[in-house]
Amino acid sequence: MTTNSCTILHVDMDAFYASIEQRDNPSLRGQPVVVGGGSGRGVVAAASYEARKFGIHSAMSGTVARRLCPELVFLPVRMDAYRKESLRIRAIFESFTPLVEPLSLDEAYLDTRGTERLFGLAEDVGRAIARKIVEETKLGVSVGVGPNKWVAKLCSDLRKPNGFVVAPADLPAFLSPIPVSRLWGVGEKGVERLHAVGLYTLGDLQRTPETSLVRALGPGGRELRDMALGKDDRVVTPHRQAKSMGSETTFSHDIGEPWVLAAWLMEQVEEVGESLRAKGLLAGGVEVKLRSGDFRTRSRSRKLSTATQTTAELWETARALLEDLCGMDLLPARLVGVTAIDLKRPEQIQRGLFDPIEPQKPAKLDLALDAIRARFGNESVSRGTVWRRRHEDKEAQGEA
Amino acid sequence: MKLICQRESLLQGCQLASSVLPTKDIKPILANIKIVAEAGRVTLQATDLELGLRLEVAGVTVLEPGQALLPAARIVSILREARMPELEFESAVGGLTVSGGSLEYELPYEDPDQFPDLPELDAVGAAQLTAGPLREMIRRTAFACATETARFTMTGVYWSLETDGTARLVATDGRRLAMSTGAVTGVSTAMTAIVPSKAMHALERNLLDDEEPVGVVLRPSEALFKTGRAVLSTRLVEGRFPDYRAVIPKREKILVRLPLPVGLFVSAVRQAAIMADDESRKMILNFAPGKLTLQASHGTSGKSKVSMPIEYSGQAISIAFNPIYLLDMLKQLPGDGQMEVDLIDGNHPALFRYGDAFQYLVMPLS
Repeated sequence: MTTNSCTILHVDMDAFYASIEQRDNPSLRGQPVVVGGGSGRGVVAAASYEARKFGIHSAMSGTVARRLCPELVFLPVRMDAYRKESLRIRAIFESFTPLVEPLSLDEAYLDTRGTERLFGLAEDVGRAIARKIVEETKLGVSVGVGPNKWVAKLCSDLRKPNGFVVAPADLPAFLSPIPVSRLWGVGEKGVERLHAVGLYTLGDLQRTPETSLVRALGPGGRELRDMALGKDDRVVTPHRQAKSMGSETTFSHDIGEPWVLAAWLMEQVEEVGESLRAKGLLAGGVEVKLRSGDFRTRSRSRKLSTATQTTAELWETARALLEDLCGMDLLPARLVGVTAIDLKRPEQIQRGLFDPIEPQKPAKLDLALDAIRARFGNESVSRGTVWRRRHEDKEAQGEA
Repeated sequence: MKLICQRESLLQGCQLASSVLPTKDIKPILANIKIVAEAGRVTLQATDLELGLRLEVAGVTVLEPGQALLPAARIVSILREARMPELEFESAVGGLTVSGGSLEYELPYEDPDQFPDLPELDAVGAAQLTAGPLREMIRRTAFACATETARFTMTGVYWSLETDGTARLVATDGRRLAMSTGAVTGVSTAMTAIVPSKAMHALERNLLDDEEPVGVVLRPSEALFKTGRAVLSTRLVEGRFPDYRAVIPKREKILVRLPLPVGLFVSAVRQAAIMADDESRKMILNFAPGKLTLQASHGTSGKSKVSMPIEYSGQAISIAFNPIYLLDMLKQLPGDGQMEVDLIDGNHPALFRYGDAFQYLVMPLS
């Protein structure tokens, strides 16, 4: 493999929200700064590199962050400002290639194939983009260049901030020392499982025969090995209009009681309903997924007769699907998840003759809950089963 | 069994019988048509276990009475490809032979006694309709049935035979509803049934002579239809048909009523629909004084705007439809006819009417 086969870029802004705040307010430069988490029980949305030195990271609770660094500066979230900056960056991407797949406000994949005659190799495109972003926004950015999305993303993350890493021709050797925790889709539990069977680096995965990996880890073992060898065939998909929206949870211990699974599912349905309402989308169907303790995954989906964004309606279908799945010998389960599928914009909705005549509006209850959670946090209000599940979890933790 | 048949006549009969055959391979024997030859009468039988057809065929000379099973697909092909006016069929335990002129086919024997029995129609209590008008009623409703099994009770056409001599056929998929009425005689007590759409299409095909009477018997779990040549029996769709009366707008609620020439309207819908987006399938109709404008857009790749004159002087109303729902209906109406549309506003269903006998309700897109 030569570096010429590297055509995919992963461009990732460095501490995006925090950097915008520091740029806009020079007195904050060099200071440990976080965005979000300042009030009560909120969590940190972004931390500056100065704050990260104290071990502060995003999704950490504000209280913990303050304990780690008493001088920490808490700033309110200014989403409009971040969004505006994001649009500028996207315009820079699109001036080089139309094949841009944004992942969030601050990162995107770019496919540079077909632009060689205009801009040269992917590496040159990557450097030009990084230079232009720094010039125009005065913000830091890291770029990874690789033969595919997975390797490109790994590269962009290797030397943050202001990193620029091109994957070398000998991918297996390059990847060999990387710890398994960097693998895409492997979380804390996954790392534990890999460590338990003596796999610490991608090199360990490379050296283990596929059959042994599948025996030890299930069919997912094959994918992990492919990743360790630098293989990934996902393509860069521009302007991804969401076709589905989901939420899933891997439990800290396998769950055998259907009501507890239902409580988790309810929480996920609420979350999905809230995202649908926030984005103004309706679900045309619902899919529920259940994974057994021994890694057998099954899913069931159902089309809705009328598309909806109402939690109660999503829940009705999700609950029925979970009941089906619970009868399939999958308990105890290690994961449950729900996905709203076949998403539609409201203007595309064919209403039914036998439905209530009122045009679809989010249920009042949903609107009220969304507003309360936006203001007081996710756990400020919950349905009974969800509360009971959380309550029992907390008690169990207290005993431990 | 031995008989000589007129090729065209048997071909037509076998084609009609084939439309009843199961679409899925549920039981191999059901891929056959059973032929029963008696002195002076030959009938074909076919069934998918839900729907059964007995059909008398003309132009057959019975040399030896008996029964045989004809593999439907092969026999239809043989009859279609042959050129001579007559063919001979001979069946014995050794096999089935079809011959005529330079042709000879040998087919394996299958035991006709294994073929499921079809009910005989006792015409007692049969209501009577006339074939021509009934065919039109079926054409104008059956297309609107639901195809998804989730709306099971909507997968058939609702029949209501009323004592005042009204026969009413209603079909809906939950988004549009078609209702057609006609005359019926011999109804002593009102009867209703949901007849599966496959049976309705089979019945429509068997209504060959406009003038002939059609006997209809609706029983709690089955329906029987009898024409001069055919008896069709079908199981019914179980369950409750949705309350269609409740969704048809009341006369006093209607704010706009205006005439539309069918031919002009069909052309305008077809012309505008070219740009209806595959995903949203949306066409906006704007009724303004003297002018109806139809608009559709296809993502970023284009839009259409088509207008036609209308006799209307009220306030402008915009309403959006899936153009397919309009075209499905318009295809069933004569191009030189005149229809009317009743509107409340852009959020309520629109009612298209053709004379007193046909109504079509469509829910708008929002």
